Amino acid sequence: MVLHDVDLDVPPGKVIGLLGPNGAGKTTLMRIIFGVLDPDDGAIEWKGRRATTDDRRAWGYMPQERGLYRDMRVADHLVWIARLHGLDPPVARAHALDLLGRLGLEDRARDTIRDLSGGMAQRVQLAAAMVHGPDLIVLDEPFAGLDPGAVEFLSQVVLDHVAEGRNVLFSSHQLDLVEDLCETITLIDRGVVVLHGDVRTLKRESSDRYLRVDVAVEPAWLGEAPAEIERVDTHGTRIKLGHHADAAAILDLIRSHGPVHDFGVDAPSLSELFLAAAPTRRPDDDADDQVTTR
Amino acid sequence: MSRVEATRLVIARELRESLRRKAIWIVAAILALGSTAAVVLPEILGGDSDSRTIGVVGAASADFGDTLRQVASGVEIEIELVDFDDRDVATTAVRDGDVDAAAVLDADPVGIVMPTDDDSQLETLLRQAIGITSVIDALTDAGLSRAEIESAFDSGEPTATVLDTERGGRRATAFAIAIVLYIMLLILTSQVASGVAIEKTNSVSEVLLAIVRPHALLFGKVIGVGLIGLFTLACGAIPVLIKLAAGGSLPPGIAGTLAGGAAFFVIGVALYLTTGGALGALVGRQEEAAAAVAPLSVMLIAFYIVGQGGADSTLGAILAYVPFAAPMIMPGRIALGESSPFEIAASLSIGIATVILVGRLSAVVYRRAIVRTGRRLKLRDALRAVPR
Repeated sequence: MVLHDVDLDVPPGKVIGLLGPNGAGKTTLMRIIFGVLDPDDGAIEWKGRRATTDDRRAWGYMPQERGLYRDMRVADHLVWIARLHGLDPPVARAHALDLLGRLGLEDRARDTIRDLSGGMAQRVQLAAAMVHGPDLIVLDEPFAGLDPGAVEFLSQVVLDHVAEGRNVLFSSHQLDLVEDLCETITLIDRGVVVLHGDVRTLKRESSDRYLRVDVAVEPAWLGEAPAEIERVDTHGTRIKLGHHADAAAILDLIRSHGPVHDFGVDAPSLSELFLAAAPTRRPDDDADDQVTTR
Repeated sequence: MSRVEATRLVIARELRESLRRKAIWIVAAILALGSTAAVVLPEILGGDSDSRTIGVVGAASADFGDTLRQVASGVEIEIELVDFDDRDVATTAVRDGDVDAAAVLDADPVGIVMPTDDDSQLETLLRQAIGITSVIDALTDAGLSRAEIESAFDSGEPTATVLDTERGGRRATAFAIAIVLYIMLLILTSQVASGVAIEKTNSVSEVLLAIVRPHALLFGKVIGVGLIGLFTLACGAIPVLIKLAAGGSLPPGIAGTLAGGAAFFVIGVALYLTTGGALGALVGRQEEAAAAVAPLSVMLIAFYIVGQGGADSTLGAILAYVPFAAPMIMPGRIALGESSPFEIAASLSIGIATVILVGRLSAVVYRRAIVRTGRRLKLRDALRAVPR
């Protein structure tokens, strides 16, 4: 069993994130949404009733494994997909060219997919999911393998889509990357929902707090204080504060070992929320990584 | 979007993308040129009859020239004679290639000079002519009159009755058509399988399955690739048809064999390509496509061999009713005049029924296998899987 009792709501006008580590069951859920796989139990509903085949074919899907005919020309491909969705040829062509313009690909219309860079191919893939003007777009790991500029660009397209009062569901295993993009998240791990809700509410309601300082803190500096070092990196140190811990007192302990120029008390990040909810897994764990690193 | 419309769009894409490639045009051009050459060349070359120039030394008998011309005309060779003074001059002329051979008639025994031992036909003709001439000489010496000798030779001439003068030609026609069908089916089947495998492994099918039904993807590809196959086949057939329409002489039995070949080719395409598509959907990696259709290829090769060697055998008569074998067997049987109208009708009907059955099974296998990425699936597992 890959998924168990997963309940997901995708209201219009909001960016909904389906998050979780690799192998959590995100792709399986999306394939069920599109009827590529059938669930043993449960249903997909759209506008208050069971989703029909026609409903599904009106949505847009961008699978994690990018799927386009590499030998086809960009514009031809988009027009063809639009026509499969039932658009008339002139409308399909108009949609395709408009979308290529919005995605900054107008001068690549006659190139084959093969000739595009990874980031451009990704944009064409997104265009393929949107070319028929769907209300709902479902994006499986849309940001995987993209540089920050491309992530920014794609995020804007997603925000524009929901700004028109439409629906977006996307999945990601890079929790911190999409933290600012989603309003509502459903975090799943091994097929079950471990965390669900509005991102700001979740953060606010979490009792965990983190002290962030721009120096490398050694464990001995904290002494008996109710705090533990979460992570030390080039930016400094992130310290998880225990319940009722006095952040100012702990900051003073650190300052007694040297100057601190920047500090703050943060709510947990998405991956920290995930770890708190599913402590046995790390968000970026991957079956493949485990094989290669051990 | 209706099923038919979706399938039509998949077919249209297949055709447009295939015709955009150079390879298809090269294959079509080669087939058209090859076929034109096969149709036109015999016309051009057939006009010239073979001719040989023979040196003669010592015209001991004027009958030699006439006799040689007569025996040579039986195998459509024209003879031209050149007189030489002696054996040495004649030998030099043969060596220099001025004449094709020389007969030295004033020697005893009479001699033949040949440049090489390649032209055994000419050597036989010369020996025959010399033999007959010496018999005529002997009979003349014995006192027989000219008329008596000629009548003796005429009465000895056997008349040959050939009952089926065209069987050899029809066999060649069947051979040519079968080899084209065989190669086409082999290529098209693996083309469908690798096309499906590429779509599966590149995840194109993942995108498309969210839009269209699996049926449309499988049958659209099969029909598209099949049509491209028919197009290239037509490039090869058109010169033959033009010649047929113009009333030119064609290899015997070609019209019926072409019609039969076309009908069974369509059935073969439907069977092999649909099965190939389903098998292609089983793969885990693109390179496995060839291995996935290997059983089909082996079957095709086996039936092809039977079709070439024994379309008119008992095995051929049985295989005529086996749908996967009929496309390789029936064109040969039709060409050789071995098949009855009943057999053709029955074989076609069984073929069409099997196409429907295989189509349904393949669609089931394809639908289940195309979404199961990862390891290569066994056909049995795909057939057994609970439909879900």
